[in-house]
Amino acid sequence: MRRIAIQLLLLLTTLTWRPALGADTAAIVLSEQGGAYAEVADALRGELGAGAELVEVTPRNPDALLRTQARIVVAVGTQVCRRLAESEVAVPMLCVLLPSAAFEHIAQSAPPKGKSITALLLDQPASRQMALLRLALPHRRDVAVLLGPDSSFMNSPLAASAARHGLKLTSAQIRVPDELSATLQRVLSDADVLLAVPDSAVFNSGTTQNILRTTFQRGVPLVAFSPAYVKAGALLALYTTPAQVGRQAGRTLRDFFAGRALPRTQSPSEFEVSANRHVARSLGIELEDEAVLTERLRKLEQKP
Amino acid sequence: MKPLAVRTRVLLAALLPIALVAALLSVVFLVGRVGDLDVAHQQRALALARQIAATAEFGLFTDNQEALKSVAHAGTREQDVRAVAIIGRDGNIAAQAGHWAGDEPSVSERISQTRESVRGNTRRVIQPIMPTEVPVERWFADTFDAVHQPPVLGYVVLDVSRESLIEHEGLLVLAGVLVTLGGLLFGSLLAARLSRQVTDPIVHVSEVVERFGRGDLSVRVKANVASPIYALEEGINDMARRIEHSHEELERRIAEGTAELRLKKDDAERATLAKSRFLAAASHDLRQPMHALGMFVAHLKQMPHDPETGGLIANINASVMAMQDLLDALLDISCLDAGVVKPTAHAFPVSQLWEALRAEIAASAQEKQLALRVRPSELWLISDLSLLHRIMLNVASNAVRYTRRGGVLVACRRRGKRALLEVWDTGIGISPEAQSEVFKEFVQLDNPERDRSKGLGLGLAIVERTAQLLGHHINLNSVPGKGTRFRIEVPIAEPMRAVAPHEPSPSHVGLSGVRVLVIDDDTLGRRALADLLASWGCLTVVAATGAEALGKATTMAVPDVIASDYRLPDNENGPILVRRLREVFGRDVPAFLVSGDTAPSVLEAAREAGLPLVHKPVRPARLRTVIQSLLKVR
Repeated sequence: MRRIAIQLLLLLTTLTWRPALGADTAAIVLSEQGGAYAEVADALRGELGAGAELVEVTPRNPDALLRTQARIVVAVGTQVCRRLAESEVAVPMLCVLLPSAAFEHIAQSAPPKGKSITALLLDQPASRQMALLRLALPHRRDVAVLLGPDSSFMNSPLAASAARHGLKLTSAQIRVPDELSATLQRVLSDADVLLAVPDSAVFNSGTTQNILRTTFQRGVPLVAFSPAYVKAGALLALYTTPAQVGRQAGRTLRDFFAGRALPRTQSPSEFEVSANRHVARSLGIELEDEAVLTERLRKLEQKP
Repeated sequence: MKPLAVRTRVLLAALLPIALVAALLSVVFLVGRVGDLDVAHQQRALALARQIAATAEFGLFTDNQEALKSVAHAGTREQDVRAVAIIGRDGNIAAQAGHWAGDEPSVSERISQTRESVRGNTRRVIQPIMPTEVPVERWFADTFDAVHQPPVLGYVVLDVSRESLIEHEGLLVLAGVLVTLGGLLFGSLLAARLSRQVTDPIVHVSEVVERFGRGDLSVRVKANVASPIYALEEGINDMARRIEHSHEELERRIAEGTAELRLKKDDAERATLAKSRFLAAASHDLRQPMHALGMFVAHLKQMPHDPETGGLIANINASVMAMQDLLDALLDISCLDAGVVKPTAHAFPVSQLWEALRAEIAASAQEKQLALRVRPSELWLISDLSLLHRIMLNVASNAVRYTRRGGVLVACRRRGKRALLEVWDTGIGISPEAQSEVFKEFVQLDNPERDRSKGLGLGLAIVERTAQLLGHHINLNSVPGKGTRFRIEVPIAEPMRAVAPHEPSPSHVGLSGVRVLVIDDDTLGRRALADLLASWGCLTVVAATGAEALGKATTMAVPDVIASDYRLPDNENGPILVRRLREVFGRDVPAFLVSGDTAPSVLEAAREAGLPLVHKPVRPARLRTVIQSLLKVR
């Protein structure tokens, strides 16, 4: 239903939308109302303030996109980003709330037809992650990482960053799902912490439980990328909330309206750290308070 | 309805619903329970499979054969589990335990839903092993094709025995049947006991009604207040009491009615007897003076007198004759009614009857200028000649009396073994409606003024009674204005001997010089008879008593005829006196008896003695005929 609505919306858009220059108008396209998507939209609007107009397009009012004369479209979520990228929309696009693996997949499979597609990614910068590992688990130096087909490009930045922070990175790539268990066992044999990257080919709702059980059996903590993993049994998570994404997107739009060019991708500037004390206790790990960790990580980044 | 049928029906009515309900309840209960058991068995098998699948998930993920084997073994330790297999995503058996009932399990296609099948005593469940879902933020899992199917890790195949279930079901069915049969037995006993409380009174009532119907009106139902048909029992008893009462009442009334009828019948019989006695007495008492009067008139007629006196005498004579006819007819009827006339049948030729008949009616026919024709016949008959003669004479006289012109034909025809004696006339005839009336007493057609010269109306009544006495069938055929044919059927006899030579008729025998001894205690009668005989030229000797007669007999010449009164003084009677006189005279002097008494005993005595009896009042013609016939025999 949602997909059909979006397709209809975009089809109409391709036929009728003539972009007009001059007005500071942006459109934000949401695949659904409420929840995290609404948080993103609200934070964006709040950040944008009265200086620019924001037209919200949801499956409930797909024709809103036809009436507006936005100069930029904000696509929230992987699906909306991909649909808009494949469409005839000619104005610049800013995709938000999607992992880099997904964005790279979109960017490669659907090359932009003379329009600029930029993204505000969910992936934390490799240096921030390594810094967190050093802060939280100062005694664990052997870091393992599992990559999927869409996230293999992260291997070298991660390795480089690990090396800068004095960590040893062991990485392995999963080509087919059946390899997961064996590969995980292999990389864990030499590691004392597993760093998760947001690639749904590796980490998804079906694999999470078994990965966590495996790491737990090995006494290896998992450092993940969202609070849901902390709830499920990961030791730590470094992540950016939808509101933080919205605010950063607002700032980006302001820059855009101010005439500055958009970078192809941006990493999140704001972040949170979440920890599971029970898991820490089970694994016999002394862990700082999550607020303290967050604060210390921010201070580290603010240093020149 | 038979008593057995009542009981059977009541029992059936009580038992059938019980049996039906018991059977139905048992079936419903059993089907439900068996279904429940099967569902429970299935649920347990599915739960077990899910549990094994959950336990085997991590083993399969990590490809830990040992762990999977222990999971499979643990599965087989569960009750009724025959075998457990854990099959990998690729279809290879990762671990198994137990004994498979049939073929080894295999999963050839990708299954995402639980499958369950029953083969024989085994239930097989195939349960896909899915990874445990952990909720993660959608934007991380928000892949391009949106629909994310978690991969199947493998399958658990579980064989669970149904033997204990089937055994349980068998026990359940057995228990159900036992409960049904028990309920039925209890119901039957209860129904039999309860129904007897209803049927016993009904059977008793029907027995009582049957006995009542056979006539035992005193029988009663033993009414029981506790009986369910107490009202019916009381009602039947009440009805029985009423019927018995009304029956008794009816019997009493019938007895009363019968007694009353008997009384009336006795009265009627007494009245009839009294009438007969009166008639007999009256005719006897009338006879004496009539007898004398007849004699005197006959005597008077013999004397010379002037024509005017002669006319008067003729009229007196006619009146006397009519009165004598009346008395004769009354006498005949009373004799026939009394049943004293006993016919004696013998063979005789028709010609003998015809001759007498012709002699008696020729004169009156000639007087009315009617042609009388008596057709001769050679036939012989069997009958009582004198009674038959009386019938024919009566009919022929009637024919002459009621015919003004034309004639009277007397004829005899043969039909088979019977002779038809017929008298035809051309008289006034009798209307069809009157033909059945003419045989009743005192019925005279065409004589409303009751002219005595036309007869008394007793003739045909006498004819009918006499014919009945003889057993001869009579028949009347008449057309008013044209004439009448009377017919009597008489049996034919074979001719016995040649017809006797023609004798001169008695009227032709002269009485002059005939000596007659007359004995009569009634002076008037004796005198009249003697005078009449004397007028005919007879020489008479008279005696008032038997003794006087016997006295005179010794001195007188032997008489030609003795005429004796039947009843004589000093307890003497005619027959005895005649016998004694004959002894005195030394030979069988012809004799006849004269009597005014019509009692049957008199007729009987005369017949026994072989003496003709002449009833008073004696008609001169009759007297003359009797004397002449006696003389002729001599």
